[in-house]
Amino acid sequence: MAGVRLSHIYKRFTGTEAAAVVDFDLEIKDKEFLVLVGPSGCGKSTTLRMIAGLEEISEGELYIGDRLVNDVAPKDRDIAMVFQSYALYPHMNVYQNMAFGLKLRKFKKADIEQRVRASAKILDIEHLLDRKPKALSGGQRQRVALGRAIVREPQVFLMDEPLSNLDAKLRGQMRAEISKLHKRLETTVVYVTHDQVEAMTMGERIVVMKDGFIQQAATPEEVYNYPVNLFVAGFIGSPSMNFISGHLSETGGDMVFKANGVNIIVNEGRAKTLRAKGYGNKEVIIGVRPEDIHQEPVFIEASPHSVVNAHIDVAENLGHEMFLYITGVGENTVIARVDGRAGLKEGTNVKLAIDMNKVHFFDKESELSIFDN
Amino acid sequence: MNWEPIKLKLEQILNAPLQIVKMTTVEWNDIVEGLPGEFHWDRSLVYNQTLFFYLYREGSLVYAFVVEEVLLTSAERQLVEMMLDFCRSREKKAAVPTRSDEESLAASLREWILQQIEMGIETKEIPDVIAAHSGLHAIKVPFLLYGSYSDHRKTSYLELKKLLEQFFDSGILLIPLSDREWLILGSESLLTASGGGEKGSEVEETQEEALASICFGLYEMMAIEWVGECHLSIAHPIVPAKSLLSTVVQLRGAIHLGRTYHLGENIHLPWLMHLDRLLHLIPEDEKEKFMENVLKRIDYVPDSEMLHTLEHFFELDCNVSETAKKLYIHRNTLLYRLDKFKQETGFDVRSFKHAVLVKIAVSLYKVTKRK
Repeated sequence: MAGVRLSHIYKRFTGTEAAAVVDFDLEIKDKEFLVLVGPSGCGKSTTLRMIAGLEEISEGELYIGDRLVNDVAPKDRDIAMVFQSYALYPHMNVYQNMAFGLKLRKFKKADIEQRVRASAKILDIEHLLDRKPKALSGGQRQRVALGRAIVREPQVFLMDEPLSNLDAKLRGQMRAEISKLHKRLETTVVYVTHDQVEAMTMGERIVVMKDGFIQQAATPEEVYNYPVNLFVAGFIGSPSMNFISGHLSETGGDMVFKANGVNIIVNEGRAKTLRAKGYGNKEVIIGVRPEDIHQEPVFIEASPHSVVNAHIDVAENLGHEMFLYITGVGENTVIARVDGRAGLKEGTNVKLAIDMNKVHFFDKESELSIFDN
Repeated sequence: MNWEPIKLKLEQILNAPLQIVKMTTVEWNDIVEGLPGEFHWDRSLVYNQTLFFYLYREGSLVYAFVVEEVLLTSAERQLVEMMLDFCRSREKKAAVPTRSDEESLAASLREWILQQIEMGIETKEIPDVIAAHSGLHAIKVPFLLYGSYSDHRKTSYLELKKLLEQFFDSGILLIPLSDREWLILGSESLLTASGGGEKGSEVEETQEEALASICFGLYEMMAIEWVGECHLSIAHPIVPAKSLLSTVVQLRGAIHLGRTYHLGENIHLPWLMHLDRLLHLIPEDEKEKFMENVLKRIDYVPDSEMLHTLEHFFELDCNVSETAKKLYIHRNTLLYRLDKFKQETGFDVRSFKHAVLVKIAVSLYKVTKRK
């Protein structure tokens, strides 16, 4: 097992002006499950492919363990990769698919047999070993692709959106399986995904990327609760965080945040920091997660200074929860996640309260969070 | 031999900058002749306060490492000489010709194919003198492999052949067309070997689907077990003696088009590239004109997110729900993006007429405008 160190890595593709990956500097700890997440074109797959050796590094150094591997071929990096396509070798049966890498490395027949059977047992595919890929379902193929990687007992697993071709139910199942597998094998995993649910539930640490840059690298809780900038705040969380652009001002000794339909008092503790940082009379953006907007009368009564009156444009009731698409709070539609039994109807007006302890403040120009973690 | 990694390592060890220079043998001999005393011309020499370490000779050129004389001690100089001697002798050993019949056949085929292509001939049967090899009259599955790795990751013929034979579990014919381009002729039995087996095989697979799955499998294996990034193309089975040349032309074309119009993809299937092939034939000025009339009609420059969105939208048959799912965005976000595109360009890609124009423009954009 080994950690991976990416030291100031850049990737520039011939014929393109902008670098696909810019100054990627990160240490992935041994046995860590690290998730690279971000929108299409953010450089996450390119970073993974550089670790795999499938893309050459334009600048910077890459270490697997203590070994500099910039110029080492993929086959000699002691990594195993699971791709999005998880294409199996169609002319080989499942056993042969899993055994192939070991056969190439001249493992003894008995060792190959032992490793393949053990991995097949972990993945619950023992009964499929004689089948050809064509006779397998999508989920089974995915397991075989994982098995092909596991048997090699590599120092690092690299996974590039391995679940994206599965249906939602199977994806949820495999998510849990891969997490269990990681705990069992105790191997370093670098996992690329678009899907923030995968990122939040599987990663011990998440790296959020945009335009080739690392935006934030932290635990899922930290990324969710303390996003460093507007991008991270908006990218992580579903439905996304609501952003309301407005003005901070002093009224009767209180710091007040004002925007279209919003006139709420900032908690004294936070107001103190905002004043100290020079935001006493400035435009800012506040970020409110949908679950931090409340409709319960008890909460509204207890938070008289953060109440807003809104109009429900759309109400989506999922049973256990309800999404309200409301207007009249800031310039754009705001989404609130409330109790599914609240009995709220679209087309009506509603009184809601914002949990001011959970509100995020962002600088309007730099888009960075004003509060440090 | 690739001397670049050795140069880098020496620079690290000696803490002195080295360069690789080339000069003609005449220039080298002139320097050697001007030196006092006896000189082993394949060692090192000092000329104008510069130390030259002989590396190798290629035709009328001599290659050498060059370093400032003062930066190396005499002991270091001797050690470098010794190390270079060792590298050369090791390379000589490795280069001892052990050409098999197959390698000779591959070499003759390579020579013949390249000659025909150079003369502009694209369809011709292999001459009997070469085609006499029994394998060339049997049906084969042709692949073209293009390695887009850098020089220091070169691979040998034997290494690659062994890897492919282990993968296919049968003999193959491997023809190196260039340093990075390999033609692979696999057995026709590959197509039957990928059959389903006991369950789930009731759905009949077309030949093209079978070829594609072999190609995807081979790519995945190469990505993990070979030396670096590669591109692959595959064609319908052929009798090489009759149509190897035209197949090479077709496969080369597919890889070229794929690398031009489908950046980020590594498998290029010729039967999916009809439109790219057609677009490629359009003269450059016509392409520019078309772009001006479509995407650039209001100086519109699509960002990478918009291009990505449009590409997926077309790939998924203009299906909004499927595209949103594939892009991990909300359906409304996708509709918003498409509306934004409509506002900025006047094209509503949900209408077939507009979609056709934009699809072509997006393909051409990659070769005419994208920076």
